[in-house]
Amino acid sequence: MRIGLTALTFVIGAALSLVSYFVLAAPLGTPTNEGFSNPNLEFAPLLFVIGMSVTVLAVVVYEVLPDSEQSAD
Amino acid sequence: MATSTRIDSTPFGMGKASTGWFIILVALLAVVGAGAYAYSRQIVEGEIVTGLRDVGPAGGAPWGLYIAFELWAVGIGFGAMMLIAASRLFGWSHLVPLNRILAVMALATLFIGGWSVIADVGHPFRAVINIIRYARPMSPFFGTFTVGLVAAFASMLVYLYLDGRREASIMATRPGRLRGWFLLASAGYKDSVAERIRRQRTNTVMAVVLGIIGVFAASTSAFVFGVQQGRPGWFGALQAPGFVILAGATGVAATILVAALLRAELGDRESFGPKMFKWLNNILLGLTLMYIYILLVELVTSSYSSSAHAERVTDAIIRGEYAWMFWLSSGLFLLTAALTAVQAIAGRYNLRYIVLAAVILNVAAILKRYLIVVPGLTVGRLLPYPEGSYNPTWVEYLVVIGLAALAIVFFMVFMKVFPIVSSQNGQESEGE
Repeated sequence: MRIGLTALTFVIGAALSLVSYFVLAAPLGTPTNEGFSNPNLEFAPLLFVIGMSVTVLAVVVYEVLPDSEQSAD
Repeated sequence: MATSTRIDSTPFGMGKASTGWFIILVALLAVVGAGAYAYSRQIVEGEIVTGLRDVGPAGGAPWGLYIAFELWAVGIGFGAMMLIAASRLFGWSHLVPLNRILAVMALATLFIGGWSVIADVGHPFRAVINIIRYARPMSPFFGTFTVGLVAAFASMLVYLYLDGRREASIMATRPGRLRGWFLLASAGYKDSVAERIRRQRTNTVMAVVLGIIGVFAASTSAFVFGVQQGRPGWFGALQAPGFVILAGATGVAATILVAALLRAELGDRESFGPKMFKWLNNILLGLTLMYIYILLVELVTSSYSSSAHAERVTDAIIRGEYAWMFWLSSGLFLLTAALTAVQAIAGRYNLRYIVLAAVILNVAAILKRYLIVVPGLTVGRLLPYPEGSYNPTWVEYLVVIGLAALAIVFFMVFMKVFPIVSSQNGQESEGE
């Protein structure tokens, strides 16, 4: 449960970061037209930082999630 | 056991505010207020009240004291992050008591660094909205905003929160006005074996994360300057390693100052012992020597520059308008190295000299940050404009002094609501 939720948080955060950076933000590469100046989706940089923050929060999920009755000391 | 004594009494002056503490706080808040007033003049009257002007026809520099201060402040934050990572990963147990201090320092300096950038832009609200709306990943500003500010801040908050949970759970068992706050902060922590194991694991993970973010964040700040091919004096591959090393050095130097102040204020010679300062002295020596090497390489390389434009910048820095600042900062870096090296070689460490070296290093770093930012704008240009000039005004000085005071206020208040040194250090050291 703990590992699963931690992994899920990490994957969601990392996926959001990667997608917003490589797909939703302005295209990477040598600019050949004005399309390189604009993001494919407005506020893609905001999604990127949200993604990064969620990735870091995976550590909090791992540590703060309460122990189940069986595993508690 | 020293640990339990600390917890039974009020640890590290927490929850108690002496008259002296209040006087200092009020004085600092007055300085913050003066900075806010200065910034209000800038908001009302515009950038004209600052020394900042456009490059080229306006003959000025759009970046000056604010950006130099920002680089210095966030450099301390990135350096603190790298020091937390190094102390955890390399098992530098003498530095582990500093980790919470480093975390608070990093958050405070990143915060004031961010505000310094806000002070620099003419339309702060528009700048913030547009950067989260349109920033291009290929722009170094994207990196400074995302990694340098948001990721660094978020990861430091997570680290500080997790690092304090056990402490909060212990404090929550004691009666007092802050009990509810500690109960909330502990988030159900019971100090079970399983929780301790998880704590160790997340400590290691966070150390790696903080180390990576610290290095990347310092590098992205450097890329703002280093990748500007059209700006002689800025463009260069050495900017990133130089920024990382200088961030480390200023972070260590600031840590020495804070640790020495806390040692004097709290009278805690156990947490802030001689071994800690010896380590900090030697780390500062290593980083300062590395930075002097970078300075030398930069100096030699730029002296052989093939571009007349770059030559002009080098000339202004070495022999011209900025020469006094360059030679003063270089001399201060050498003095820091000498002060720390003599102690390391003799094997005898004097706290006063270590503190002196830390102060000198920070002065040198501020001057160097100014030299990185300004000459590249006033002299470093490819178009045939006349040489520009930049002189900070009282508004800029008051704003940065106010921000520095704000960081100290943040630190002082934190100390009163949470133990600034972890009582679990002994256990962690043994565990490591």
